[in-house]
Amino acid sequence: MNNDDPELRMKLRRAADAVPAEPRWDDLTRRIDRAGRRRFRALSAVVVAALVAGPAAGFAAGRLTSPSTSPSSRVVLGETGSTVSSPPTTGTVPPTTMPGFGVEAGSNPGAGVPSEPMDRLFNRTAGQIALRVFGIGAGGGTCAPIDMTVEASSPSWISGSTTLVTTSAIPLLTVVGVHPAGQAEGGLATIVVVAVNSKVATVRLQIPGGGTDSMTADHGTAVLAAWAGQTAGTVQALGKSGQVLATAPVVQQPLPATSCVATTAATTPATTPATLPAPGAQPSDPAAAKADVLNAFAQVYQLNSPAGSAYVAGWTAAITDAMSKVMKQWTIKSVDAQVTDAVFTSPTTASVEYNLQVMPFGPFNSRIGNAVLDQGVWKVQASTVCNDIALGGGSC
Amino acid sequence: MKNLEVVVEPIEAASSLSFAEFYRDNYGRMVRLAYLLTGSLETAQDLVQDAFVRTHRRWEHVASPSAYVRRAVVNASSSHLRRRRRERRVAGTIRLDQAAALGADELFDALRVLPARQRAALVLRFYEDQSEAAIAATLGCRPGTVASLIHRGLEGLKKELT
Repeated sequence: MNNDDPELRMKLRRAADAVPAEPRWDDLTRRIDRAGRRRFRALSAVVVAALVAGPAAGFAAGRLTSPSTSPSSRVVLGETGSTVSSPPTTGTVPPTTMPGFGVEAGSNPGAGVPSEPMDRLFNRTAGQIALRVFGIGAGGGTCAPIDMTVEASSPSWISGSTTLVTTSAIPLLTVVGVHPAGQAEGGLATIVVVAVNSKVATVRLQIPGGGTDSMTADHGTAVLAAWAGQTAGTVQALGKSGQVLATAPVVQQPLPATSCVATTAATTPATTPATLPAPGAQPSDPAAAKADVLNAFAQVYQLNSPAGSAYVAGWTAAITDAMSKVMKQWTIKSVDAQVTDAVFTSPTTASVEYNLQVMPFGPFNSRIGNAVLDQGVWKVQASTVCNDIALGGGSC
Repeated sequence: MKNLEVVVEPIEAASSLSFAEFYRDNYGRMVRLAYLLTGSLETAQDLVQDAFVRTHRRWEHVASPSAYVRRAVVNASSSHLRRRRRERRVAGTIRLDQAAALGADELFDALRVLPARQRAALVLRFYEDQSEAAIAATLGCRPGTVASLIHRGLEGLKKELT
């Protein structure tokens, strides 16, 4: 044995070469998702502890210094807008208020919370989850209300959340709030608040393994809920005739801080056929052609590199620009397409079913696209890439 | 995790390399490395996936993802073996069931008798072809210590095989 032992090298290599080592994307995606949720829960625990400890300490200090005082505010929010009163006092201690909840006008001016009652915008239920949505300053028309509060409850838990929805230029679809609920009780649910413009009739939430929910847009918003511990789903904006106008991942995004005007931002419809067509005439060497198609899909989403764009049939710079914008907007780490099935519809065209791994959002499975033989090279059709870009709200 | 960003190989600019490419290109190598360190394929796959999750979390901030994930794998493998030694309280050899199934030989078994750091130094040197400086960065020690680990590791192997 010495420092350059060829026998040791050879035996280590032989032992290692026997190890099967195929990347396991699904497992990695699940682990990344779980790690993210663990960090969120830890952060939530810290925030809850701070919220509980702070007011408790303040209350204790107040009791020690002014034992004869009591709160004087009247909280306005309630099931039917009714009030919960407390006895009037002559004390000087300011009332304690919860962020996002209104205090009756005049009782505590300048306290930093809205001074008028919230309007109830709508109530609805989604799979035993009751949702009550309130807002202040509903703009109507194409503008969403501001300062929106959503109360959600199920047979085992109740949850509240506030979402600031500015009266801004709203694209077709913007996810403005994603709120988990029922974590402590074990009945995990996700509440999603969406702002839409007037072109959108219905909004649909789809979470893999967690069901779906949909509602007609109301006051320029939609509040959707699904039983799911994960948020790796999509939200779709549907037009009046049911066509998909835009699709976005379930990730909270800020709204543009511009004036309240209607916008006509259009995105490419993200519809894809549901199944592969029947096979047609085959290429002379189907196995080799299929390998080339798989390679094209493996390469095509590396659009930041010249090699990636070379695998798009009908490539234009607009495609690369759109892809870059979407990846930057959603801070996407990577996009990877894994072909699960390919059918040749002619010697020069193929329909392909593939799973799109968008990190860190997770998989978009069973997508259908097309490949064509372009100057002797199998390439992915531009419309296929553009359909995938539309998942993130972009357009080519 | 000190010295994690020490330059032990050409720096990959994380911005020019997607995580998917990085995962695809390095997963196999890391699983083989972890297998040589732990002797268990299942454990190796588990540790490597966790190492890639940690790398993903730090992707924007890591100058050399390869060095980062390699160190994560080596550290996780060492921790796993220490934990397992405590659990089983077995002095001497650690039986690894899958080794035989994968065709490991006497030398491979002997390697796994060594302490974790000596084994890591030998595997990084003779399988990964790492320099002593690179191994030092991965193990978080000085290059002189690496030379000593390799020397003692080889001695230990020789003793096991005679």
